[in-house]
Amino acid sequence: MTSGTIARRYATAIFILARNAGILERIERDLRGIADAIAAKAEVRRFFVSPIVNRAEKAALLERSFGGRVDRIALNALLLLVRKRREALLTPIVAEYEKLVLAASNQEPLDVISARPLGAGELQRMVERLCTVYGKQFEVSASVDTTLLGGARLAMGDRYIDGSVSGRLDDLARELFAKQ
Amino acid sequence: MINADEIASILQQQISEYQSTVHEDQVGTVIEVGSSIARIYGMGAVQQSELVEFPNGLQGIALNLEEDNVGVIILGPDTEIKEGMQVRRTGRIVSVPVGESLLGRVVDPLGNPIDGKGPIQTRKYRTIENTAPTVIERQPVKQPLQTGIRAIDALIPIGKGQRELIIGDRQTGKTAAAIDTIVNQKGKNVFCIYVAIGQKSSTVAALAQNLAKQGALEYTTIVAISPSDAPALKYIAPYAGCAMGEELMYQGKDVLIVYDDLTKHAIAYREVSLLLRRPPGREAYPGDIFFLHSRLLERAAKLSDAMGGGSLTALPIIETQAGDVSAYIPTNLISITDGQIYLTTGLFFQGIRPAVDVGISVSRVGGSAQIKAMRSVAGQLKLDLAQYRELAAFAKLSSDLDKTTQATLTRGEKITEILKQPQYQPQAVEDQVALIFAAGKGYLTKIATPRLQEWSGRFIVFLHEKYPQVPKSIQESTQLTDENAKTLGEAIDAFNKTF
Repeated sequence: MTSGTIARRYATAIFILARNAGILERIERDLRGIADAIAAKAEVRRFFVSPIVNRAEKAALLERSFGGRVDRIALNALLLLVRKRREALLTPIVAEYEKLVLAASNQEPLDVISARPLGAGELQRMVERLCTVYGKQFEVSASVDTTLLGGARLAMGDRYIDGSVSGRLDDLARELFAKQ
Repeated sequence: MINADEIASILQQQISEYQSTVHEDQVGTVIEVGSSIARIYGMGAVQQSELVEFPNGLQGIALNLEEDNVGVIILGPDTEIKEGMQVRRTGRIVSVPVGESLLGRVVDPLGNPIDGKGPIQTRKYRTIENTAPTVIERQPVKQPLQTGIRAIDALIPIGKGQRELIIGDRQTGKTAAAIDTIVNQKGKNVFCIYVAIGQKSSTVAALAQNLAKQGALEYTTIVAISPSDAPALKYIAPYAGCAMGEELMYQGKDVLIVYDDLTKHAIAYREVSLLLRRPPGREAYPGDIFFLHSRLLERAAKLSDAMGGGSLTALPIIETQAGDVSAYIPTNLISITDGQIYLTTGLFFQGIRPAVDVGISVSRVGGSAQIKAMRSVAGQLKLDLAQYRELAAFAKLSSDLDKTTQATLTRGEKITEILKQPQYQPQAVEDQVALIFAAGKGYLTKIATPRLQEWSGRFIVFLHEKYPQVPKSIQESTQLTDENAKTLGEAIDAFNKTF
């Protein structure tokens, strides 16, 4: 089983607990805070993922550090990772949890790659049109890639819309090769 | 007179009204590739067996829909696929070109011509995976498909719409029997498809040349995939051939399809399944190895008149090791098919060719797939041969045996000799009836066994020259009337006097 699969399962479990308690965003903040705090210093990270540190001691230290500052669900999840020796999965678990929260709020990540920088109005109009078509809200990130020659590419998870000039040239090439 | 201003105005209008359209693709990213398998991350809505496309035009089939990735088998060389490439769904199953423009051509499993005779001119495509005709859409198999091989047409007859397995060790004449069947379809309005799975390109080239020489290539399509090609292509080859045959079947035509051989097909499927990390079962084959072949062979059928009355007859070939018919794949195919033609090495090296072991070969359709004339003369043959086999151990002691036993042995010997037949010499059914009549009724007792092949060749020429009404009557009425039987007896006696 890949680590992505395991991380997703942990994230799903935490998500269900948080949703039932009605504190999705609070848990998201707590988990992100814990992950960032551990990643901030190299020795803290080394300590956290070290398999030779006694589990009980590690758990006690984490409880002292985060207890009272984060919600019980987030803290319990962290202590469970220590007990199961899955400390290395903390960052992917947090990332998967954030995706679940986004999906639950009917939001999706949207990457807009254009051949030239889009004006604020242009981007907003495009996003509004997509929101209407797909009935979702998007978390937009925009970038520029001049190799597109013109137009733009949109990536929404697995969905992909290629309105770029280079994309059309690729389609044309594919069609020609297929006929041959 | 064309006005330049008008043209400019039309163009202006078209430019201002121009709307570019974009379409949405569902994509994934290659995270792992190798050994003709790719793992794709994303493409969460892809369907089982869906065709996916790589950026360089290569295609693949999504076979493993796992929790966090999709396992795809690549229909081509995987050296052109790189990690990070974007893969898109096509929303359809693999399709191949179909139609009569494929006749006379040699193609690969994707329908691309490999015979250098130019592109296939067709607009029709058919998916390689289709559901088999239902019970209501079929009718019983009752029309004969003549192979032209006496041993088969007399004792193990095949009907249109039947699945008859050809099984035996290597070099026992399995392909030869199938090719002779194809050659015998000349002028009978039966289209043929030969699927060569994992066979050497030189072998396929020689085969195509032979068929052309026999005048059989014009109504035959060869679907070929060599051992060095991707296992995914070997996996889909029989389904592609079947789709080509189905198209003609649903047009009301009769089609014969030969799968040579399904052992290599099973091995290719095992290869891709193991690479996809599917759990191995018996002999490391995946758990659905039976379904692999059953869904292929169920598509062979005789359609009802309401569906056009067409037929697809399948001759799958299986290679056994050391004569072991109880191995996994052979037993699967035996249970799926409507009978088997078992070719043995022992008989082959005794000079009995085709090396058909009539004792354990069977056609579950049986007499329904024979014309009345053949049924009337061949009925006794199986019994005579069975008795001969039982007494064969005593053959060496022939001088010490009673007359009845000697007669049984002699009759069996003559029948065995008459059933021998050279390759590429399939025989018309009326001629077969005449020879088997002669053997079964004891007309050959006084002919020396080593001369029987010569006898049979010359007798048929004699029959057509001096008594043409007999074979003509059998051909037209499909029966051997008492009168014709009497005339045939007279013809044999007359010929024997001069032989």
